[in-house]
Amino acid sequence: MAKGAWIKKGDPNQSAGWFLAELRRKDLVKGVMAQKEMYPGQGAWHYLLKEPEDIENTKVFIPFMGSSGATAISKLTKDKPLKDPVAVVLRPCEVRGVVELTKYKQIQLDNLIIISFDCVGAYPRRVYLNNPVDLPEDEDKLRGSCRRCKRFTPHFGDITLTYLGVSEGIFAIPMTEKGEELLKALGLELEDVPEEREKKLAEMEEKRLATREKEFKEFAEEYGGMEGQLKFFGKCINCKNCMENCPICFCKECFFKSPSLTWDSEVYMDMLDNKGAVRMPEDPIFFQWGRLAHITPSCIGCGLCTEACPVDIKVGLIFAYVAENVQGAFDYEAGRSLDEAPILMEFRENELEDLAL
Amino acid sequence: MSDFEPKIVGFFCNWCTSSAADLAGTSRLQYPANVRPIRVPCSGTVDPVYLLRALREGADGVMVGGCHPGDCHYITGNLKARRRVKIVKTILESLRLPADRVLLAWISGSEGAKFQRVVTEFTNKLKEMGPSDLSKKWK
Repeated sequence: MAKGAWIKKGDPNQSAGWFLAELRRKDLVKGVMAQKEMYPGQGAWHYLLKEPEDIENTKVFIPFMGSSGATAISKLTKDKPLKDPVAVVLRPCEVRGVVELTKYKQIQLDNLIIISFDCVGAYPRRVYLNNPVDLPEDEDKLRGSCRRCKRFTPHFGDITLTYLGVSEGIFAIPMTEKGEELLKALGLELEDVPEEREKKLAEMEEKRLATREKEFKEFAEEYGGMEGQLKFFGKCINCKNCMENCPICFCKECFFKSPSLTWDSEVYMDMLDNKGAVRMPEDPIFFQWGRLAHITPSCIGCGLCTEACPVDIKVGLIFAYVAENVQGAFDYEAGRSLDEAPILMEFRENELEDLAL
Repeated sequence: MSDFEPKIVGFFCNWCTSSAADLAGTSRLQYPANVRPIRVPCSGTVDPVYLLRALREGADGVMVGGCHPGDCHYITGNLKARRRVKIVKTILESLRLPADRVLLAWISGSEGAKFQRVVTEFTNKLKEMGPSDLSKKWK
């Protein structure tokens, strides 16, 4: 039976805030990174914080996800590992991003204390901004990526926070020795995890797996084939926001921003002669397919691409669907484990033997 | 569709398949002129986007030719190519697009005859499949 500690300091966000502030007050960490509002009701963003009073009103469980914490941590640790411990609060999808980016050598885990939580999900940006709330209440209004999320509880990190099946405040479950030491250092006593939590998680999983299967099937039926693809990406404005917001898209020099996709003036006229039609300035379908090829091997299904899309293309849906097949083909799951090498970092002589002639 | 001549873009490894193409030529083994060969340093340099771009720009088929596993000049380049081709094929299959327009073949420098056979068979298959619609720009 897993053990954990009660933290009863008001509602779940206040309790989590107290817990994080306490880590700082007892000087167990040098800083805390968590989501905090810049202005009430305008969304919450990742802040690196030092003062306990600032940490106290962070909003850990807020149903708003505007950027990826994995990208933030990459900035924090890519050049040099942290010298002092820093607690970072991440959604489970962001934790998967951290695992992937660590394997790609974009993150160094030293002194990073990863605190995650049982994530009910976030609302689409517009839904949230119309009606800002502190906790996700209506499952049906969640972002598509959250509704079909199959890994909403962390599998990596030091401490899991949860308010699922918890009558008051939150419950903190250590996942590593370091996590357990921190809870004990705060003077918290470890007790059995409330049984209700498992029940809630099982209910959520059943519902989400069903949604996942249904949405993938509907996607393939409606948007499969060339005509389906033209329809799906028909309104793409080529802004590449989906790429900018993607935590897995970490390359500093990107093929899609390189001169490979632009030509000398006369080449366009040659192309006109040869092809009869040229999409100007460039072809969104090639961009999207190319990005599928680059990203789906490590796509963590966070859905930030959909959030970033100004014309409401469900980018996250096609990526999650294709990623499930691509990763399945190699028996790989992005973010599952630090020990599994990413699909394009490991090559075996005895595999896929029927593929080549 | 008997007069349809498919366009094939071939990415051929410098160390094997390109030599095999030369060997087929010097041995006077005739193969269809449908293939447009591009000589690459190693099949492992062929990024999936090259394949997808060729298909999107109007190729009816794309082909990657590399060394047999274990024979790569750079040790594992061909194994990389194999995983990348698998990724491209899986993407196309997932999107219900014709994945058999992508072909991977191991053709060593001495296999001029195999080069001729593979290219001929692939051309015939693409002729049967008809023109690709992957380069469609609108409905």
